[in-house]
Amino acid sequence: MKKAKLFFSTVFMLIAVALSAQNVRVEGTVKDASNGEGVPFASVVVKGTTNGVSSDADGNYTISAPANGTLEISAVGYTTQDVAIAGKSVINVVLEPNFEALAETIVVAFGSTTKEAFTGSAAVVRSDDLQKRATTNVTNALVGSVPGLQIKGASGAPGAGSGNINIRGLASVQASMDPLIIVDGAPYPASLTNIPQNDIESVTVLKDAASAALYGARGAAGVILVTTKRGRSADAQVNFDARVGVNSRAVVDHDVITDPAQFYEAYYALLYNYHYYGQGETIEAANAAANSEMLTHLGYNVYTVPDGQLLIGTNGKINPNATLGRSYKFNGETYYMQPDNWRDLAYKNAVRQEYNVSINGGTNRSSFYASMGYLNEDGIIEYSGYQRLSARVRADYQVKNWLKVGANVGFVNSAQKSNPNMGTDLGSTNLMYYTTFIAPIYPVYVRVLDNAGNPVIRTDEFGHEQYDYGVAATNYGVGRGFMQTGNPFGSNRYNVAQSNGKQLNGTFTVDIDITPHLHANVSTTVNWGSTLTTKYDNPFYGPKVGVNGELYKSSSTSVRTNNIQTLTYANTFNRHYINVMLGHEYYKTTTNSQGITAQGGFSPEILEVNAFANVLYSGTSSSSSMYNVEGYFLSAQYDFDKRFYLSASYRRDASSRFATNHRWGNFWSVGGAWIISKESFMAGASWVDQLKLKASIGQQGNDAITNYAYIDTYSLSKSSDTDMTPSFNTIGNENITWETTTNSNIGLEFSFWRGRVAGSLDAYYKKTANLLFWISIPESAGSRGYYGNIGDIANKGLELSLTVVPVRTRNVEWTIAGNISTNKAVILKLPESKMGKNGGYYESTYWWTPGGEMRNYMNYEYAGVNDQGEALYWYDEDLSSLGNAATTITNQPGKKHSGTTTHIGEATRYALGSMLPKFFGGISTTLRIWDFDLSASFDYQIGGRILDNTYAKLMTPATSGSDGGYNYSTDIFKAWSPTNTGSTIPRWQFGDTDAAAGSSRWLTNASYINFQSFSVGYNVPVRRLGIDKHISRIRIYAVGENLGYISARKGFDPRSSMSSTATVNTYSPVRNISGGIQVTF
Amino acid sequence: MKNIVKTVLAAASTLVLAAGCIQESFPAGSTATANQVAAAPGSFDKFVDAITSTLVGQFVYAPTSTNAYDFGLPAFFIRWDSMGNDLVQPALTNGWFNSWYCIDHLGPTWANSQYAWTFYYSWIKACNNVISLAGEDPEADKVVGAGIARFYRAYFYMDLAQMFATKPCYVDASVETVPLVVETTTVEQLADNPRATNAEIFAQIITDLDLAEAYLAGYNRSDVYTPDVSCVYGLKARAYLLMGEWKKAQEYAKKAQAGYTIMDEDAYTNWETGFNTPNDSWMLGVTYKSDDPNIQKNDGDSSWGSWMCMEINPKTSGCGYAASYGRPIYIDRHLYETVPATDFRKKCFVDFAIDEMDADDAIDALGAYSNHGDWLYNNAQGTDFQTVGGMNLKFRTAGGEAGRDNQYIGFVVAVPMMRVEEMYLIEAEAAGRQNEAEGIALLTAFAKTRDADYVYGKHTDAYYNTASGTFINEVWWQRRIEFWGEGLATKDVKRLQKGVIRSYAGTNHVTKYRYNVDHTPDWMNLCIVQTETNYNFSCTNNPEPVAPSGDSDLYVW
Repeated sequence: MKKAKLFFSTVFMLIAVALSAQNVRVEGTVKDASNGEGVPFASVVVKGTTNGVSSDADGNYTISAPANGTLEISAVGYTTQDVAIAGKSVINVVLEPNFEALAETIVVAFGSTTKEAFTGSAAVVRSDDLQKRATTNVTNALVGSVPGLQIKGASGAPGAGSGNINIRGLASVQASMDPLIIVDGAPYPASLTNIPQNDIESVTVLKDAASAALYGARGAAGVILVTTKRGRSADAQVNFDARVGVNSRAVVDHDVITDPAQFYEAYYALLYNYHYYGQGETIEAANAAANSEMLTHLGYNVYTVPDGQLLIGTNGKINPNATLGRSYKFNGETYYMQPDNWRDLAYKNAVRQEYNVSINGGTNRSSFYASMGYLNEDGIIEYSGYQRLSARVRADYQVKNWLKVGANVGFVNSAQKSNPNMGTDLGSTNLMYYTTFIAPIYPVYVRVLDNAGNPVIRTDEFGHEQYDYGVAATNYGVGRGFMQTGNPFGSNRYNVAQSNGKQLNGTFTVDIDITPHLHANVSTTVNWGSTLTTKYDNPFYGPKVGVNGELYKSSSTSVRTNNIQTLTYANTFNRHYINVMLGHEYYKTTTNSQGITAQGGFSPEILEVNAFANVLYSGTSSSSSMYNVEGYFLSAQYDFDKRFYLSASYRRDASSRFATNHRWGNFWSVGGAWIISKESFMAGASWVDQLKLKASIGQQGNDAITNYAYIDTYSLSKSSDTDMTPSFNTIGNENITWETTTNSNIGLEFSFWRGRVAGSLDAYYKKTANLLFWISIPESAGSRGYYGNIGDIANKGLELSLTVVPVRTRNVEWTIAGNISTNKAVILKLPESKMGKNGGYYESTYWWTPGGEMRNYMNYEYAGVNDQGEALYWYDEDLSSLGNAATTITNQPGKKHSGTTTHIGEATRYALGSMLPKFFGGISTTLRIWDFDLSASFDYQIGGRILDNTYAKLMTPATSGSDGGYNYSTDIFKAWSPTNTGSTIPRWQFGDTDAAAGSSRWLTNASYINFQSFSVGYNVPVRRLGIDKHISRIRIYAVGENLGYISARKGFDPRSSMSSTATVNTYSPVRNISGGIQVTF
Repeated sequence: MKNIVKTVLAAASTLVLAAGCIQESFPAGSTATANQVAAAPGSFDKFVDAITSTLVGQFVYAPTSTNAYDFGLPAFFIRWDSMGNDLVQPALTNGWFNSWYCIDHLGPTWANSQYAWTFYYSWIKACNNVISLAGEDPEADKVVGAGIARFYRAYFYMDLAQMFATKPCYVDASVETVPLVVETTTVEQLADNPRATNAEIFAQIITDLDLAEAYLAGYNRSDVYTPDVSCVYGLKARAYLLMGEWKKAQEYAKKAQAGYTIMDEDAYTNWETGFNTPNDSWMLGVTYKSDDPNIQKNDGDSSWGSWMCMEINPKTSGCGYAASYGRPIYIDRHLYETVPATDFRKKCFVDFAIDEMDADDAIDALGAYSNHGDWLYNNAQGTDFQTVGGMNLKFRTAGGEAGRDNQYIGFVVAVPMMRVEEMYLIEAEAAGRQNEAEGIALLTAFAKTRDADYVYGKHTDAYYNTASGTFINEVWWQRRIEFWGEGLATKDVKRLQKGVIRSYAGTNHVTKYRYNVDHTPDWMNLCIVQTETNYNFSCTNNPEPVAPSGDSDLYVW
């Protein structure tokens, strides 16, 4: 309640400020000459000032202006008109559509340009589009809407960072492939979760050299420019947006066994088959042995079976006399064992709420934008959530007619509460791991029988419910087969894992007009970020009982500064326009981290080290690091008659990641565009609004490897209480320098029939040379390799995007937009030392060979089953010990399919082809009917294969007792057996180590279609209701994210990775459906 | 005028901010560049310390993980000895060492085959660094460091040679061991670096030990965690035994004994200091320290104590793989049963008869091994055997009752690498191979220190290799029981070309893994990890082991 009060007082304070402006009131409607409809969001500005407003969805506007002034009315796609006010209080304007001059502005490196003049390839997502999304991290809104961009592995954990972003294929092999993210002109390595999407004016994705080369250094993988909002209207506007929704689990599970009886039968079958078929025992002996070993392996028997009877009969079915739930005496107490549904207990629906208030306004000398936002997102897992409070002020002021200053300051305070151990590691507290793999026989809680004989959850001396950690000595008296000593529910409940982030970002700019044609700009950005992490293991249950709780605190502070100075000369000579910019940029980041671990807590309520008894040396750390880059650049734009455009740039960069004499690199680009539609020979084709041909080529760099790769490093460890010793760590290579990408692009942009069909087609070829390559060496070196600049790769592809407007009438408009991209990543050259005589090399499950494709999966090739039901794998006689090789060779791919073997140790790895998708893209549609609008967007991928590791694990028969307790896919019931010899799934027999080996068997078609988002909205007709004097706009809407996907196998999510699904389910993207209201005063 | 102001303003701000920016960056934390290391005060001594500082205590294989078997040299004792019959692993849950017991995933493509490589070659790298810094003819202040480096390089290569060669040196000097990397080997040479033969690697070992002997002469160490010249003698005795140079083996084993005392019953079976604290018999060892990452991270569970020490309070700690997570390591029942009741070493392992008793009696009976019989009994219920028979109580937690209540104290133990008892047995074996009567006399003298009623000729199990004869089998049996768990078992099986017997009447080995093999099993010839063979184009490999498909037929003794 207090929060609401705070919000409303803020709103009213802002309104009070807005009303204090004084001027004559003019109102009217802006209409489209072609169809008489209102033009929404047309800009109405008092000429010669920055005083302006936007029309509403119906084209209505109201502005305060001097009675003797002139209004300038403009809108994208229309010819601008000037109208003298001359004392009138109502001015209706009819704008002529002008499809020839799509003067849309695009934010580019160190400035902005018009879409027409732009020679590069970029995609823009604007605030209107973002409005239809409910993302906490704005990059999630790019999926499917930017051709050539792929995001994999985005997490659904509240407040999580971006997934892996790839722009136009795989930019590198070992260096980072993440694009450079620039926020308001400065590099921004922090999480974009820190910036509320309501504060974002536009996101521009720069894909080719002409657009990104000015970020020469580090622009090779593409650049994402985020621009925050600035003040635009003269009449102050207050905008309030509130949305509340529900997060729910979007991931689909594999088909697994859910019935405890069925699980026991499945596990029994494994052992029975081993004894009966494998060891040749009698049915009775095998039945007895399998029953006994099953309970030894699984630990828990949750069925009550009459004395002297076995749980599973010789028919392989559960004893009909068995009843679920079992009580027994242990350590003087009567325990009761029953299974719990771990999934149901783990996931819930959660509330997401987001509120934003912003005000923007201006005078003829200044503009102002301020906002405040609050987000509270609860996780779909108990004890996870994210809260963010953000504020931003952006203002500029024309001090003199030649001097303008600006400031943009944002602050964000966030708190992320997460579950302990939510990564993809197999830790004993990873809830995802448990819900994915635990057999449906295990309890979450320890239960006992109460006096009345009813099972109840046991409580301990503190009154806490007791979770079952599976440890014999302290829980049920038997060891749990699955991950003893862990219970993520208990960990989540009593442990703490949270981080608090604070970030202050300030940008200050000075613009000086030295002469009318010579302009200087100085921009300084300082970004201070701090993260405080608290982890606490409780003293009640689990491994920290003995030490009375353990606390880990860490803090990391980074300061990043970016300084840019530019000098620009721009002038027009007749029909020639030139613009030359000279600039310098320096970026520096320093990070300091400290951490401390302490044991023996006074109370779980006080999580600070001073309330703990014993500080651990191994858990105490402090370190710092620094990274800086510097660049000088020159760029030039030229156009002739707005028909021919040329651009060129040059940049020279230094990075501290390279040795002093190897750190400078040179980068450049040239580009051109020809507006064919402006040529006289096109005059007859009036249906052509615009036709533009463009081409560019240039070079960019990449230094995204670890620091200090140019010099040998040692890791320090303690040798005594008074000294440290250096152990060899990594080999350095003094010669490493920039990896360079030569990026060429040719494209066509078109718009026909007044925008009814519009789109673009781009073809590109990107060659990355001097790859920062991890050169593997024999590990007998005491090191596994080092970095060198060896090797070339290339990415080539096509991108098509098309927008069609099948219906456009006064009241109904329907738009369909789609894009499709294809990319092929090939290897051109590789280090000789790594290939040796093999003509290529095997690394990280890929076969690397010059001329081959990237991500060419290399592994054993599954060949079905033999007449014993054993899994078969192909071998090449030249590489296998079964053939001509002394020992099996695994570092080169097989060529021949000479025969099959049941032993992986004799099988051959084959290069099985690229895992990358053939096509990917998105489809979206928007429909507006009167005041209602509806939109939906989908993204898809066609082709490609990735490994379904989760399925592989669920299909792996236990090979030793320690595998007992893992759940299985229901597909195991289709396994080969003497009565089901047609199956290609190997026999279901305990101990078959090669039955489910890593092989082509787990490669799964990665095609999918994903319903990414929808929005439904209703714009209340404020004018018709007669409330427009108070409120200029009310919109009521619903939005949804991550609604569902279809893939090759239930439970298989190809969106998670380009290579394999995680063995552990990550906190996969959650589904969100929210309703909201947006009010503008 | 205004233009001048504007120009000056623009130029000034540009110049101030543009002036020479790019700076060199240095790490500050747990990593240091070569330049920083070279500039550190006393850097040579720090390099010397680096040889021993990572033998235990650190997560060498995966520093950012806390894998439960990433605890240095002693982890190899468990890994390798699990491949034979003397150590029984309850191959159920928490099976960090299962692969070596069950024989699965040991091929060159698995991380299991990488451990030996990562650890040993990074340790060898540390030795090479010191040898290289010390130079051909070390100055006085570098002599001891060079001696330590030479000693350890010999130690590491001997371990590797024994584990990767298919035959012992004295049987076939031409079989391949591992690639030899010395201080002069360049990165380029590594790409074409064939496996050295037994002859070549042992030549290098003897060269290093000769120099170590010279360099360490007169060096007085402060504790048994750094080698002195007696350790060089001991390692030479081991080397000559492997090379079949019996006379030299006997000579060096004898020299090594000087200044040490054989453990007596009280020292051997002490409930507080048993095999966790150096005594007069320890020639060389390693020790965990209370602030090691192995102890402080992952609840101390990634340590030797976690896997070898049984006595941990389930109420106040509840940690330890052996004590709490159902993973005690047991002695092979047959080996246990061949130990006479009069041999005090039998007291280190729980009597199998206790499993025949009811719970209360069993807990009482366990009082003969520990003050906490109930802990042992309850913990055993969580193992796949649910039995206490054969449970190891040789290795004790440190720090008395406080250590049993708190594993952060209890697991801070020392582990022996070389004991003088081995020197007596090497002396006896080497002597006996030249003159059996002399050998029997020496062996009997030693054995009587363990069992006053010892009678020669009762421990003659040949494990399929009958060629070695009674005397060798007697010596071997003494070694098996004397050094159980100390990392010599599998090396001895290979050295003496014995087979493996896990399947016999009454065996306590885990069903499905009761393998009998009538020769030294192939799996004891470790595979070289593919990160070597993929880039060292002259490196051959041992065949990927294939485990027997299940229990073998019972062996009749």
